[in-house]
Amino acid sequence: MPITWSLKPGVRLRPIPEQECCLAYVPRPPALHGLNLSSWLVLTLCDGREQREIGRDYFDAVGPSGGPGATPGAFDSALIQLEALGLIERRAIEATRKETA
Amino acid sequence: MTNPRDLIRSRGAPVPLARPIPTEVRTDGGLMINLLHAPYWRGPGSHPVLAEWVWHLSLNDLLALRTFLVTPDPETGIQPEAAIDAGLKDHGIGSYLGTFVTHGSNFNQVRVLFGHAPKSMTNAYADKPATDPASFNRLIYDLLQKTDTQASRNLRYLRRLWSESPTRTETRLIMLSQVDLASELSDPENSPFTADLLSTGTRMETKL
Repeated sequence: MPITWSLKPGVRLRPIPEQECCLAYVPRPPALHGLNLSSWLVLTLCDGREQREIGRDYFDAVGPSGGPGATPGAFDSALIQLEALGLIERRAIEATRKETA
Repeated sequence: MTNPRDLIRSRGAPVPLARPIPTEVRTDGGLMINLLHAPYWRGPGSHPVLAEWVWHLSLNDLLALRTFLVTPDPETGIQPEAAIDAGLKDHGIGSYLGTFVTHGSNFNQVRVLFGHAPKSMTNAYADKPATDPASFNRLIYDLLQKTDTQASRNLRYLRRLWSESPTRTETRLIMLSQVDLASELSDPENSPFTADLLSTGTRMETKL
């Protein structure tokens, strides 16, 4: 079943481009997380779209420059980490339709 | 370049990594507590002595104490603090300033403060009247015997919490501006050791 990904409510981002990272604050329970460039990019792409579309955007961005973040499993790994830290949430599309109906 | 897409274009994409950052834990940090409002009963009045009961409570017991303080008596409809203050004033003991909790890292120390004007007393050993440090205790005792009043019941509740705490202490504070300190301390009959220090400027040597 296709799923969408979006930023969890209340999560606040503080980009630190000079350090090539981004800080993410989760209010409940309070926690601060550090994201490197690839994870930061995935987080910004999680705007409620389907995982397939987000993944396509991700590889479009990292593909030309290459690096270990452009390997096939990198995107899924980033999603798993971000979800485990409570920064993003998934939603099954069918469930979303039922809720809105 | 302030977005990850531009940065990755110039630097390449690292292996995705997102991890918790241990934040600083301040050992002197306290809970951020906001005061709701000022007490509604009358102030301490002209009472130059403060009597203080101090003890410690766990957070759960602190919540229970707070509930007690703000819950009106089912019979009278009066909150305990107002009743205690009125009781102390009616019996000429002084006034109830409030039950306080220390604000900061040791957010578990409870202090109950009373204003009091000590009675004067004379005895066979002093030719002039002196303040009676025990008068507050005697007057409180008299009030507690009147078990039919809300003030005595509520005061007994606070005193029971104090009595049950292994860390309880009791203190009297005198208002410095209301004490003739130089006369008191330089009176050899009252305080021979400080009188000697003040008159000669040197400490009394005690031969062993």
